[in-house]
This record gives sequence, C-alpha cells and structure tokens, in this order.
Amino acid sequence: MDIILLYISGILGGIIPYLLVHKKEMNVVVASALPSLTIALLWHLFPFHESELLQEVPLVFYGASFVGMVNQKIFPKRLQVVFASIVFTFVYLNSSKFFNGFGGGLGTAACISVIAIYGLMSLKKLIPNKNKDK
Amino acid sequence: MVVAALATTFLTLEFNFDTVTSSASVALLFCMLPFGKWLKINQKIIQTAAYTGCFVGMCFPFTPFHYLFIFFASLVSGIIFVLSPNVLQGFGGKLGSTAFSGIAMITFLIYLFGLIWI
Repeated sequence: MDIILLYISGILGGIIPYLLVHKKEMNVVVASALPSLTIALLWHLFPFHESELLQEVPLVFYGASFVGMVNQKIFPKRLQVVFASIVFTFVYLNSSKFFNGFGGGLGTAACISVIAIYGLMSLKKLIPNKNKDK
Repeated sequence: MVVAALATTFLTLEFNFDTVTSSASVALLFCMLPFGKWLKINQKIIQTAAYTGCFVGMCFPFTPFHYLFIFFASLVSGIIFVLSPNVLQGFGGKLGSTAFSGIAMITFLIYLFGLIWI
C-alpha cells in the first residue's frame, strides 16, 4: 500500500508541473518548486504517516517534478510524462544506497527516466508501419 | 548558483528544515526577486542556475568543512552548467545531473587528496 502511494505521488509530481507549465504557462522552476514545497510543508506540519517509506513522499514528488519540467517537444503527450514518472519512482525505490546524500541524485534519476522513455519512443518510430504501403 | 547552494545548506543545517523545503524555498525566492534586473542578466538563466545550486545544497554533510565543500561543488557545477547549454536541452533532470556531476567531481578530488596525503 505504501509503495502504491509512492507511485501515485510520483505520477502526480510529474504531471502537475507539466500541466502548470504547458496549460497555465507558468515558469518552469516555479511549477516544479511550488507544488513540491506545498507537499513538503504539508508532510512536515501534519505527520500523519507512521511508515518510513511514506516519509519519502516529498522526495519522490520533488524528484518527479523534475520529470514534469520536460519540454513539450520531448514529451508532447501527458501519458509519456506519466510513464517517465513511474520509471523515476521505480529507479528511486530500487537504486543503490551508495549515492544516498548526494545532491542532484533525484535529478539524475529523473533524467535517466526521461531518457529511457524518450529512447523507447524513438525505437517505436524505427519500427516500419506495414499498413502504410497498403 | 553558489549563493543558492550555500543558502540551501544554511537552511538545512541551521534551521533543521528538510532538504526539499530548503531547496524549494530558495528556488522560489530566486524566482520572486528581480535578480535579473539588478544584475542585468536574463532572469530565466539566473532562476535555472539558482535551481541547480539548490540541488547542490541538498547534499548531506559528508565532510567537516561542509560549507567549503558546497562552495567548490557549486563552482564546478556552475562551470559544467555554462559549458553545456545545449546538452540534454529540454530534458527533465538536466539541472540535477549537472549538480550531481559537480558534487561527484569534488568528492572524487577529496578522495584522491585523502589517498595522497594520508
């Protein structure tokens, strides 16, 4: 259940800044920092969670917000951002503890997720469309 | 970038804020204040550089001279930021990767000097 909540926070963390930037034309940095700060303050002021895993919700949301900062030319559709956010949450939960405490770790994981989904999209374009000839 | 990194570190260590709160607060401060007008530089570049600095400031205090570490790590991150304007442009997480690269380089240098001198 805790892991599902982390994945949900990752998806929301990715999609909210993406929508703020591309629908409300908000500044990219503000679109990422403002919702993340809101969630972090709420989590800090109302500590209704007991699980150690749920304490990482603000970090997952913040890291996923970097995925949401992506340009629309890279990810034109919202579903791609959702997939990248899911990949980010997976990477975050399963990454080595060696780089724990390193600043920029969240951003690097977000970058890896974006590149992974972008790579899959590029591979999909290479597949020839058989229906085109008919 | 250096100012943002040191400010984030200061908020985290002295006021006991968690890293997300300090980083996001400093980033929003840099977005709200018209540094671009005062320094006559594009405001968007300052915001982006400051955000990168915030990620550097999120680093856990590994060394006893943490502020000095953050200073040099943000300098290196700044150099990487300036030298790579078109690398991964538009990709989410680019700023975080830049910050990570700076911190990793300084950590490696500290490790090398530790090996040489100790």
